[in-house]
Amino acid sequence: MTSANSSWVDKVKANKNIMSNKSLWSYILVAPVMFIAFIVPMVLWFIRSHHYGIEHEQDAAQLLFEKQSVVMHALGLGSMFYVLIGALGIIYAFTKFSYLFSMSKLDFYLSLPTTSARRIQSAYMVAVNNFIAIFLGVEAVAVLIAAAFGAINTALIIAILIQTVRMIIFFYTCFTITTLAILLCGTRMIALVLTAIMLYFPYILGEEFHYLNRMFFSTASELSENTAVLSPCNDVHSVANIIMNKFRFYSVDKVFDVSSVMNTYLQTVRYDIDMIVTAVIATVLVVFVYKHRRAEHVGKTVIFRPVRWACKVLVCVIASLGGMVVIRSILDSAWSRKLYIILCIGMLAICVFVGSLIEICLDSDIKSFAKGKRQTLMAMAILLLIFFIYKGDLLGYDSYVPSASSVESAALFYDDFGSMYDNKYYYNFDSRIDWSSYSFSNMKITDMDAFIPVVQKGMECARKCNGDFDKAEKYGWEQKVLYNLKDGRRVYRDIIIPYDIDPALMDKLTGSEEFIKGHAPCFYEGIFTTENLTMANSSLSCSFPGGDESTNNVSVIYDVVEAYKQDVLENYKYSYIRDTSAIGELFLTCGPTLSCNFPVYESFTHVIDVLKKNDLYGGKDYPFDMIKELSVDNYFPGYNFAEMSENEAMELYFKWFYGTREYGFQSKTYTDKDKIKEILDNCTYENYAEWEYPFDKVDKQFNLYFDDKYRDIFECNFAFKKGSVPEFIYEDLNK
Amino acid sequence: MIELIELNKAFDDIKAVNHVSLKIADGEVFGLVGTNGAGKSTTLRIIAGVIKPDSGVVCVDNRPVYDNPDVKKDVFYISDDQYFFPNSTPDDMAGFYASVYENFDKEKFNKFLTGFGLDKDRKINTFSKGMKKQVSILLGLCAGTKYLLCDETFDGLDPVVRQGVKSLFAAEMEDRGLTPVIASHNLRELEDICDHVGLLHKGGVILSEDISDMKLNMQKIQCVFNTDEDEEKALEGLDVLIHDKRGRLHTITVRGERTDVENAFKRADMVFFEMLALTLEEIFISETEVVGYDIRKFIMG
Repeated sequence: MTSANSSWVDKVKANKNIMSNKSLWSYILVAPVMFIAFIVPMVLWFIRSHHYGIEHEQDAAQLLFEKQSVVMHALGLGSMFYVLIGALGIIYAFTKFSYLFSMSKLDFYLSLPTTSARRIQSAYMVAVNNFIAIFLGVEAVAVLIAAAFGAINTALIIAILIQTVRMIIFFYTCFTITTLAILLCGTRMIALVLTAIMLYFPYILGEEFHYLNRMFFSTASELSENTAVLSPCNDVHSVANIIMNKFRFYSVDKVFDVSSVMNTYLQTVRYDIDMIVTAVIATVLVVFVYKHRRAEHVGKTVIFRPVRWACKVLVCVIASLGGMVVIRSILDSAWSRKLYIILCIGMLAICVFVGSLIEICLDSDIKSFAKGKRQTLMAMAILLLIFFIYKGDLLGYDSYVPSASSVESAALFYDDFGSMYDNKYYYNFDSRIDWSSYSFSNMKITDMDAFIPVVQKGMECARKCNGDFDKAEKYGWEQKVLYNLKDGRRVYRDIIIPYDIDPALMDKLTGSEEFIKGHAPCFYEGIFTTENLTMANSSLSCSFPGGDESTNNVSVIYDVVEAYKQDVLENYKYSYIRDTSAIGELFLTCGPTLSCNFPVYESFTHVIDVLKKNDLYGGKDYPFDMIKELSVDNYFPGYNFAEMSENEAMELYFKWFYGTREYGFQSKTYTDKDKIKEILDNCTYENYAEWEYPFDKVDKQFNLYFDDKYRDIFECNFAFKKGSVPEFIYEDLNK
Repeated sequence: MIELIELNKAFDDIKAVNHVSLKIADGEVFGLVGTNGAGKSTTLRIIAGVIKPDSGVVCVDNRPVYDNPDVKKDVFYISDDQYFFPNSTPDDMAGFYASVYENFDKEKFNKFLTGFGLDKDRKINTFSKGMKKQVSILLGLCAGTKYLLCDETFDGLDPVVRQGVKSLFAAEMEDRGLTPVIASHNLRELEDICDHVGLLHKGGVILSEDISDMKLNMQKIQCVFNTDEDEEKALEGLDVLIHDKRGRLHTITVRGERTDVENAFKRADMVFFEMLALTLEEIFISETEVVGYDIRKFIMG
């Protein structure tokens, strides 16, 4: 066959020798490393799971699940060994293209009878083939070992196959990005640095902007996701994390079927698409740069002047923004808005320093520190632009409300708002729901006419609070907002719902069925079925002032939950919850890992009827005869909150609350039955309120508590209702 | 034939090759001489297809060389710092080149190695600089290419080896028409090997001529004239390139055929007259001085 009519593959194969010589080392070194990384830990995990299962008397299904989890963690989609694969991609690229750093090697390789295109093609072919051969070999052995342990099923084979393709793509991506860095640089060290920059800069920039949002904007939320694109390391890390969270060791799921594996993977497929797009872009750039790279570029730190400029500006910007984040962290405890000037100066100083450092490194000459002023100035200009965009909120971040037509659904959630429902003593390992964020996962509000006005009030209040969420209690209830946009993006904002918000506005939102069903976890689909309640050995504790009762009867628990649903739908709304104290609570446990609290209000008649019918209702009246003593503390002797305005009382209270000022302390324990009754008649359970009572409802000057021996009944905080502090309290404690 | 036409190559602001035009005929040993930085290595790299010229044409047997594997099969380039695979032996390198150059003669290579006293199984990184050069020359000779480009390859070879290499070159030229192109900063290295010499300086070609032609057209005479009138008579009409006088002894380099020069000097009455053999160095000095270069400064390695 002549070269004219031979195929591309034949031509590349014919040139393979040129780039493959001396590649035996890779088999000898890489194969054992991969063997140790993939197989040894898997076998150790198998042994651990086996012994753990025996020790903790796990049933056969659980033990099988644990073994299958091992396979998922070692070979499947949850494998963290992508780190090794990425490192190999980098090492292979440096091995295959290290000749570009040496003139003698360039003389050698470039004088051989081949074309530059075939040279790079054969380098790629040799590297990728070599990796695939070793990787598949190790995977085959690992699968056989896993099968020998009886830990393989169809779902796992699919997971391993998908992971194998993903890891080959990841290897290729890292290899190509490193090759691009090598082609752009003439020295190893700079190429290595550039590789790191190219692999991570979108992610780092994403993180930095995420921090900047929180530094500058009152409504920025820590929940905001880093949506960095073209970031392959972040992509594989995110997929592994999501899969590992889903299929944790010791999970109660015990499910490794094809649909659960595929459904979980499909949720993460966008990361793989990003990785593939990155690989394609990197490949195109490699072809382009390879065509333009010349032998004489060897020894230059960064070959193409525009790339040198771009790299310097980019590194200066990344480092300076990072530095600004560090400065902000250092100043965190003493932060004030006036310190922004220090941030700005610090940011520019870091830029100058990093710019000089880059020049010194690129030229390997300390005398070069003053070179490249134009690039440094460009970086400073970009930084100042970013700073002023953030400082002046020129892009309207703090006032951003998506148009109603662009929102698919929205959610309002967090501890303050509905703290009884979104509480956190819940489950540990059940991966079906994340109880702490039930609203986050399940609230799908589509009525934007009711939602957006509330959020706008909340954003207004957050701006007034000036981002100081540590003192949000002064202004209102801290809440989080999630917009699920139609384009797939998820936008988060932190807001503060002001104490004085128009109740009608809030009622329209909180009284809606879609809000209630997304807020109260009793509506969680599939959890409170009789089948599930039976399987989980559920129990229900009912705590009321008149006494506690409990039951394990599944049909009763089911009826209680159903009745509770009806009550919540009929009664729940802002104005009711704000003005009414719960009279008791239900504590539902569903297996060892799942529990939740449901407050019961006086108007929840359906559930109270079911409880009464089943002798689970202790009554709303306090058993005064059981209370032998009651203590009242006053941390503000000499003041009278009742005579102050809400703002004055608030200011005084929060100075004490945050420890910036002490006003003294007086305490008195009451044993007189009449006084105890008068106190209890005039106080309310603060924790039984869905929302913590603000200053217009309770008098926070005094704190009430019972002796420890009554804590099983009265474990909640009490406070006097506003304007209802008995006169003898002032006489005894406010001298 | 290798032909370089108006070749230019600059590295940033430095012009390494400046309007170079050369013709390297088949079957002759071409010497490329010049100081450090004159552009010899760059020119050789361009001929080898390692470097792409900014402008101009390089043709090997009327075919462009850059990125052209068909042409590169006919060219073997030995750089001044030849690369060998890490921990490789001469045998390993021969194996590699045999897979790349279809006419590589491994048997001949082994024979040459034995002749030069080199162990084919010894790691090359344990060889001395001179031994490495020998290995690279032998690999180049056995590659079976039509052209062999040697960059400072003869530096560091001892006279015996040098003579041996010279013999091999001669044999290969005779057997299969090998055309070696040898770059060196030292003219004396090339004197007994080259048929044609090109002189590079600051990226440009000062001179390119056959050594035999240069020697035929230039004569060096030592003589002692009886009177000044005799001196005038003898030199009348001659193209005197260099005239050095110490006491009464004249050393004169003139351009012209030997018989014409002898006849001219017979017109004068002389106490002593002798025609001396010109070294390549002297020819170069003479040729370059007349065009304004003080070659002694940069070529007398």
